[in-house]
Amino acid sequence: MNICDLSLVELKTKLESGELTSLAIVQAYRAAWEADNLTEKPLKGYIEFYPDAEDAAREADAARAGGDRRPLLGLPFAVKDNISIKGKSCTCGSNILSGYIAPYSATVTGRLMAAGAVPLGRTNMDEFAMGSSTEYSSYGPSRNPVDRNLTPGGSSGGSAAVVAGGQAPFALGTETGGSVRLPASYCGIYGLKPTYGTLSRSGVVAFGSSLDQVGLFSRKVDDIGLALSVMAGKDAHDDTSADLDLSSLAHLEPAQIKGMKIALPKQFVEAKGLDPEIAAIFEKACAWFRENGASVETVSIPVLEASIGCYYVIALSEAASNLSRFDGIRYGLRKDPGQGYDELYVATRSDGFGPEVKRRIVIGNYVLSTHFSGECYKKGMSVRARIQKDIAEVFGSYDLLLCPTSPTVAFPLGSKVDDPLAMYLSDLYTTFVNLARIPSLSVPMGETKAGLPVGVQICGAQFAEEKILKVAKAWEVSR
Amino acid sequence: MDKNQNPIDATTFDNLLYLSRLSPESTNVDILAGQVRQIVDYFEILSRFAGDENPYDAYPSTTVEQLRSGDVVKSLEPSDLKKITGEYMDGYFRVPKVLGGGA
Repeated sequence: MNICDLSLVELKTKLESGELTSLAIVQAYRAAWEADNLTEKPLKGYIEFYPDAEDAAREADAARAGGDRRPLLGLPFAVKDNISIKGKSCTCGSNILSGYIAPYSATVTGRLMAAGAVPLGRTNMDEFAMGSSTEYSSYGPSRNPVDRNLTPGGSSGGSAAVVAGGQAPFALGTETGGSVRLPASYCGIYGLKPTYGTLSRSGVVAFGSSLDQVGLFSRKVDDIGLALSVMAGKDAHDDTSADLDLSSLAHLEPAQIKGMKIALPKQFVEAKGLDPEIAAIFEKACAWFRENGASVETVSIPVLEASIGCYYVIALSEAASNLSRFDGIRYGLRKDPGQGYDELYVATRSDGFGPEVKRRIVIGNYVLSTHFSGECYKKGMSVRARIQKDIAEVFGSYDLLLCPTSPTVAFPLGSKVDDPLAMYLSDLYTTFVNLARIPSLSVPMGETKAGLPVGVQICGAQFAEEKILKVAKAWEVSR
Repeated sequence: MDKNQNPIDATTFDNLLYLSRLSPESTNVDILAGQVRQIVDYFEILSRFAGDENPYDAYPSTTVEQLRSGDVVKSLEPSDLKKITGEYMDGYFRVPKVLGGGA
């Protein structure tokens, strides 16, 4: 038995039966990480594997011996470097936060730890979650476990790499425009972007506040359900959090596919840029739904053609505002030429931010300035309103919306890093989900002839997490 | 958005860098300006779809039932405030110290 091959639910069963200890599990993951670091092309999914992870595992084992039966007791997880854990570094993959120690835990990590989970370490990411490959991380890129010359995707690429590479059973990431689903698709694992409001963002470093949401990676559908069951719910520290009870997700039954109505957005599934091999795998997925009694229809949603432009107008405007707090006064790095506040701000930010973050802040400030850009931001919000309305109408008639997660498979490291627009277009099929605030699960539904994973998104109406997870479970058990 | 009316020329770009509190010396300005222009041009696609919808509809809807009541309630007394925070001094909240000086 290789501990690192087991799913979260399998580990839970073995912990509860006494077959495994939490300490043995954490030691196995540390050994896997250390061994990988000695290879020619290490994954580099972790920025830091916590030195005290074994201490937390010992405490969990002692608690279990004392009769503690919390749902995630002793089960480990990895966390993206922009989600706070009290007393641990949280740098968002950026020099400007080097040395910053989180003074409190995010609600999502706090709830996981309150349920007994053990944090293994923090994972690599594009700086401030701005990127689709982890190549914009100040720590350097992570690698894809399927092919180490390829990107694992981003921005939560480190989390995807450690789960797909057997260095963690599940991990947290964050989404603003596809940063969980894209790496999940590239690495061949599940990646859930919940509804805006399902999970609290308290303690998560903001990028685009009207879009941001915490997401989850795992190798089995049940694992996402189990973790989500303890993380969701109203949080007084985040007014956007919804009053939900998702405890039923701890035990998922497969959905009844028969009778479901499924929509395929014409603008994505008939797009010229869609890789033919991905199109073929997507067609097989559609065939599976038809064979199981669902009706699958193509629908036209013309405004989706503007989703990526709309997303970047809104996300970059919000980023320019959110990142203005990194001024050298309150957090992390400070460069002080000794000439006054403004010079301190400029010196700190110029030295601390990397090129992609600078690019996005400049574009965000351009969009926000009516003097420079006129009505650009209002146009973006108008298009967003249209996307929300059209997507809501689709879910008035259909149970689910299905489309590929990405038009291409994982790309080689270095191939897009100097072409920001090409990098932005990696998110072509994912951003509409964040704009519409709906949930979406990227499901590994096949491989190309070269063995590269292909993900298909199952999207639902707002707060339909249970439905899409149960549909994915039905697909998983049929394999 | 109207790039004929508001082209991102060198002066505009300098102003954007200042608004962003970024130094021109910290980056290759020519490359960055070119990339920004290319991306901003891409936003032109919005013009094909914008206009029909009220931009404010894009914000999450809020119903009256979800708002807290409009009742005026008694707030904290300054004496109580002093008990719950160490960041209170001489009748005011204490602000972070910057540049090694000030209160």
